[in-house]
Amino acid sequence: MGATRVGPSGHEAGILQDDPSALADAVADLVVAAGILDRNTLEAAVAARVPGPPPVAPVIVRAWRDPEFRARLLSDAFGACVEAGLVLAPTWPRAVVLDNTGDIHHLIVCTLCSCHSRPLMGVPPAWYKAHEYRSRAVREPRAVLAEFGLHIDQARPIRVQDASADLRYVVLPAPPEGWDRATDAALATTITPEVLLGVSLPRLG
Amino acid sequence: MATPSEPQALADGTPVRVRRAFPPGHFRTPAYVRGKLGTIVATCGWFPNPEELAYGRDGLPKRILYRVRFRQVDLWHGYDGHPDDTLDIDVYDHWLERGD
Repeated sequence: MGATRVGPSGHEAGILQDDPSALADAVADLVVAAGILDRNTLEAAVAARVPGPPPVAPVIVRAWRDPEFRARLLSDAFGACVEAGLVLAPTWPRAVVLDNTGDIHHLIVCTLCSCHSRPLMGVPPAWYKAHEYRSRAVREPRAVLAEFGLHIDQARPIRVQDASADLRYVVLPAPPEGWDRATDAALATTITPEVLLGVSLPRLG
Repeated sequence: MATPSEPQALADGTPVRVRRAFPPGHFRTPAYVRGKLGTIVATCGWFPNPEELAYGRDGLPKRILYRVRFRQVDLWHGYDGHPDDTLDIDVYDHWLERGD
């Protein structure tokens, strides 16, 4: 018999900590077997939590193409997104778009939890919710960005936005090289949650 | 400073200090800005007080939420980025005192 390991919670560790996906599968099987949910409902709920293309991607592309729309997006994100066809409930937290096309590079973090704009960005990456990112992004943003592979020139100021209250933030990135020769659809694929949070730059494949 | 029930608008550019307070319960003012000097850069609007909402109350009266800008060198000892690196955070009015 193997030695009993005890996890941080004081409970015995084992399969529950060694293989979270096996645990998730087992719980899903039990929920279906018990008749609590059918598998289609369960799979639809899981799919809604898997990161996908950010809903705001086509809006960003339009802002690259149309300077007047870009100005409206930066001054009134809700109005501009609705104008561009996004379906947004007025009761959702207000979003603000920060301009990363100018002299300052913005980086977004929520130090208190993981506040983000689900209607604009979609499901956040797992690292956005990690304690390490939330604590380090405010304190050493350049080092954190370098770990993402993004080296900001020492001469370019960085502004961290701590989104820990009632507003939600995404950045308007500078368009990728070659954007003026690319299709809207190709440009939209360069907009990822990482780009919208300011840890990555859009890049055409 | 404004009384808790009657917040008074602070203009953009007003220097403010975040209260160095450690109340019990839920609040949304991170420790790293408490006691620090910053500048109002925007008024975000009026919002129900999250410290009340957290306990199922109505959050009224609403508070004014300000965007406050800090120089990173004022927040972190030994910060070694660009001297103009800044941090913006939205702070409810009852956490702010005039900083001048």
